[in-house]
Amino acid sequence: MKYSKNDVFFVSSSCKLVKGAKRSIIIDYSRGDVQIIPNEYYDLVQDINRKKITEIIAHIDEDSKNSFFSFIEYMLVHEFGFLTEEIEKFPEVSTAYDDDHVILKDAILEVDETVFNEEDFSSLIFQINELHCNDLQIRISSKTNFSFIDKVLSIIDQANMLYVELYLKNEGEITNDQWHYLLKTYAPLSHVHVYNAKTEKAVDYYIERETYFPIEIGKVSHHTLDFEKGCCGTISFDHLNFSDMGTHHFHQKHNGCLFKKLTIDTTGNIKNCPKMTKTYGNFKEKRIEDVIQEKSYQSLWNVKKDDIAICRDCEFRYNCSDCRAFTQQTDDEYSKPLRCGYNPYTNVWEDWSINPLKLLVTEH
Amino acid sequence: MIIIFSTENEISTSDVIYRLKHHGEEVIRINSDDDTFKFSLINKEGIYFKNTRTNKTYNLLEAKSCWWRRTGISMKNFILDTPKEDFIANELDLSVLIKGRKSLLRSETADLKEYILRRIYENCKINIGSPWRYGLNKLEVLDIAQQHGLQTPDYEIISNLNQIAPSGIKNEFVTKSIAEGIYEVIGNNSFYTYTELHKKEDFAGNDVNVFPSMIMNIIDKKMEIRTFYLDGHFYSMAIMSQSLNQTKVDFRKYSDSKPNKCETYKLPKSVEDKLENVFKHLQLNCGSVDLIVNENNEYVFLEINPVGQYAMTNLPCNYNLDEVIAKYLIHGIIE
Ligand code: SF4
Ligand code: SF4
Repeated sequence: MKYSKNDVFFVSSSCKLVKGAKRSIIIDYSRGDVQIIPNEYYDLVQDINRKKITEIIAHIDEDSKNSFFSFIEYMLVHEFGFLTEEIEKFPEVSTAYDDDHVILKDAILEVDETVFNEEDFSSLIFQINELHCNDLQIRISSKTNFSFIDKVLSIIDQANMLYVELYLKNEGEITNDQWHYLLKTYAPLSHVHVYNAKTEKAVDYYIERETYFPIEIGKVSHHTLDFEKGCCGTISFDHLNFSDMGTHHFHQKHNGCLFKKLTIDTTGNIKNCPKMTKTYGNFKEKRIEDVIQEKSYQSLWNVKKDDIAICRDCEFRYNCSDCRAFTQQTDDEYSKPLRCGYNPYTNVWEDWSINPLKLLVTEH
Repeated sequence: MIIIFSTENEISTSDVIYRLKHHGEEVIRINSDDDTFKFSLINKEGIYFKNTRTNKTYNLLEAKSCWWRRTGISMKNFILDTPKEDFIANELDLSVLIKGRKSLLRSETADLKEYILRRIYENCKINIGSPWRYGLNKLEVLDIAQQHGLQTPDYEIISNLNQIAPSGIKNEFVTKSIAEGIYEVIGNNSFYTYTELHKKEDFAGNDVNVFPSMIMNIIDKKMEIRTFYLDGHFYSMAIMSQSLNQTKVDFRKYSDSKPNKCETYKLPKSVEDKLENVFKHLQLNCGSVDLIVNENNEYVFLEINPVGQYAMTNLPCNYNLDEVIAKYLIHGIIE
């Protein structure tokens, strides 16, 4: 490896290193890449980051020099780090996360056709829109019915939503043409999840235009999981985020799932989450804006990964969302999410639902 | 009240407005490409525009600050509809009076627009950007940069290919647009002006007249620097583009799957001081600057874009610029 007398090694602004119980990872957020490294190398990087190579090697014994240089080379080849003679020109990137202007990040609305009231729903959407929330999840627990979905979406369409997700049961038939119509008519509608399906499948929908590439307008995914059990709180490797550094900073400060989240159940009760029983009153009687400012409503907002048992030892903790409704110890606010199959002490991923110990808890 | 002149799909504008509203400010966003705001009245007390969606009328001279983000106002903000039919009177086609470049509508709008923008600019205590600096002349700015001691790339503007060989430009050179260059999406294709690498020998013995064209010395670059400047503060980023030959000329040609590394960067004080003098010379307090660091660690100034996208610097460097801009519009200072 070539280096000059004054070369200083520094970790790229786009990379984060995170240490777990048994191993560490390097996440390259600019390229959506994650690499596993031994913990000793994590410690090494902490020691050498922003120091002169010549000064570091003075403290390394002869036998370790080769592996030291090959590790630095590995970091340079992947551009996880750089050498510079002018380290003062490469300040460290800020880890601040400022979203004070966001009142609500996302909202889950549970809807049931048998108790649905159009006026109430309109006023609910209006209130949520006033709070600048533009990420919406709609869960329809009644039998699936095209014209009802159409009606719900047309009400949402009057607000400025950016992203709408729909969760349904696989009862009642909706044709491909009808899905195409809904995805095309309601631009914010991006992803539909159908539960209790016979087989797993996902269909992408497009608009074709002459001389243009087809434009994807959304996706309908079928899942064999049960609607009640399936649609929330599951954590697997595929759910981890390695492409947005903002999320990393966010998870260092706040709860990945519940921070600034709102749930309204089918009868209008204000909740943190669909699976939690605690309610904070009904939106027809109280202003949502006031309720979400209450201390008790925010009590779980700042339960971070670094506070949670087991997760705090996990190398994926800032890439992982969270779940506070299903935890291993139901009475402990800081217990690990139940529906995660990862063990940071053995580095093995397994399907959470087949772990016999956990089944006991689920049945309660 | 804060005014923002922008366009309909300008995302940074929306992000800043979101923050301004959080801080309790009233914001008027006037887009030149939609017709939400229409001219209503100018009288002794003010300049009035009406929001046609809410039917509310605002006196723009009540604003304390203004962000000159994009082109400002256009014909759309003055009239309901541009005339489509021909104008025939006494069997004479008088359409030129109402349509096209020489029409009365255009000249009336132009003067009205200039007057309105000047009044707002002079009336606001805080301005970001300026209505007279939406675009800059690249050649002039290069001269000004040089005057203030910045290194700039050597160039010549030729009118015949046989002027290339005897020119003072080195063997490897690039061609550049003199103005903004093209950016057009047509069907499935986007067209834009690349900075393309050439060699002198490829043009040897060619006696061909060409439209005045800029040829510029190629700079062996260690990295590119993008800097967002606002009122004496610099937010810089280094694009480490040396690693692949392909990117030696223009990093936009780099494939998406392996984007160049963007690092937070701090320019030397001496370079910042010179750049600040250039901005002062231009009477501009905001813009994006492009520089190159060459193989000898020298800073070469390329250009200033007064309305450039800062999101590409803001995101990897986590500078929180939307908040910096919002706070500046409210208080007129950077904390
Ligand atoms: S806490 Fe768990 S169940 Fe509740 S919304 Fe989050 S992931 Fe879903
Ligand atoms: S152990 Fe915790 S942090 Fe790690 S993957 Fe599971 S839930 Fe996420």
